[in-house]
Amino acid sequence: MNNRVLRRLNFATAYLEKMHQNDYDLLDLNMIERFYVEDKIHYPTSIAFERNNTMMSIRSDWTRSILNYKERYHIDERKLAYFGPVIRDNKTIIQAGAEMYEVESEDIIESISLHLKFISSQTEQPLTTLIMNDEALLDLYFDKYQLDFSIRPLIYDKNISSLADLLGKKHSLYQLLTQPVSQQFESIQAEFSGEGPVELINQLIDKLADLEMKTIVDLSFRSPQTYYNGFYFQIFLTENSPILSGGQYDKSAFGIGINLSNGGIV
Amino acid sequence: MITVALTKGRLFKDFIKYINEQGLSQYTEALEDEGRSLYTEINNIRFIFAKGKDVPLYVESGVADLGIAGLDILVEDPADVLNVSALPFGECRLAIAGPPGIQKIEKVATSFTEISFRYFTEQKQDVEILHLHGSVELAPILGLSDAIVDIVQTGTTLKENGLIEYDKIMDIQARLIANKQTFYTKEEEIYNFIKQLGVF
Repeated sequence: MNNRVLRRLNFATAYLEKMHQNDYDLLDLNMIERFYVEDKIHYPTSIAFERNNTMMSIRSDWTRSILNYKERYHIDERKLAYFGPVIRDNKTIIQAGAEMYEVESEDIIESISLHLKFISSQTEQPLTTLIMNDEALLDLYFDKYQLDFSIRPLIYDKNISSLADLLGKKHSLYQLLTQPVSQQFESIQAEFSGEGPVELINQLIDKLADLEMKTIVDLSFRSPQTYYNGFYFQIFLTENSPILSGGQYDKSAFGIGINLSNGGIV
Repeated sequence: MITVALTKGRLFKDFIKYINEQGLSQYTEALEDEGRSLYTEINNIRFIFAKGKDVPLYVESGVADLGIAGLDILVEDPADVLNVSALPFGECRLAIAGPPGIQKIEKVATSFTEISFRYFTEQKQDVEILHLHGSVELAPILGLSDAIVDIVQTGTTLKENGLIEYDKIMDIQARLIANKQTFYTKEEEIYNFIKQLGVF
């Protein structure tokens, strides 16, 4: 137990130093923040309470808290890193991660690469699997095949039987989603070569090739955090919990978080 | 090794019959021999036997990689899983039933409180919903409720208790569900088993 506390603090110190060396500004925020009912959809398990006629909540997600802070106060910094607790489902979870604003593809690739190198330096376990998706990939299929919006939840659910009923088993999207997931990207490339979201994934695969991870792209793969609305990824050390995850949100922002809790690095 | 969560309830016999039809006798023989065991391993697949309502939780948590559960369970208490496919067995329906001659339903007894609440709200009917854990047919017989919402397969249980079916709420069949992480990290084993089941 005590060892885990020390490992976590040592990890946090090393992580924040690394990020500081790479021009990330280190950020700390109050755990008690203003609660905005319009944000409720983004953090449904948050603990909200009232003080002096104002609704307040306990931080439940660092990315969301920083985004809220940034929307309401002026921040000049483009790259931020953090470490600290959040409360979810009445449990304390320790998060560490980084947020970047006004990012280009190169910034995203560099940040993922920096994080992976850091994690590799902290563990002897090999990174096993990289899973990715980009909402824009699905948009390419919707535009090309003029698909009805109601099909989206079936794709997010990977509801193969209902897709067969609605699209037919010969439809390109049905064929794609019934392939083994590690083969999907090849088919997506064949159909949409040169498109922006395809190229971002291609560049990332090239950049991370030396880590020899299994690489998967699946159109059904989505973040549990609803604010991610572009490229999204998870990287696994073990089979059940991602060690690193993140994605694009709010048009030009990118967040990345390290799992320091169940199944995580410490 | 992958883990598949099954239920020994209503769906088990249908599942055995289905995989037998798919020529997967290596599984059927072992599964049928298991008696009261809580799990068995066959050809690098661990089958665990859980209560039907618990199957989605085993899959969501990653203890099981795949699970077979009725659509009724998945709609009543949604889990964060991949809802991969309908399976061609376990067909039945969720229906409103009660004694003959009901004029107005004011109280309903059921194990499916969420589905019932949504149904009666959509119908704009102000109905009190009483949660029972089983033997719901007793409720209208003893005057606890006017009617019940329950699973109807052949209608025999209703008939034996002097009840008739009024309206169907939804069709039900078995569904294959998958864990959102191990679907990727154990891709090959999971895909092979799904292929064997004849889903893809």
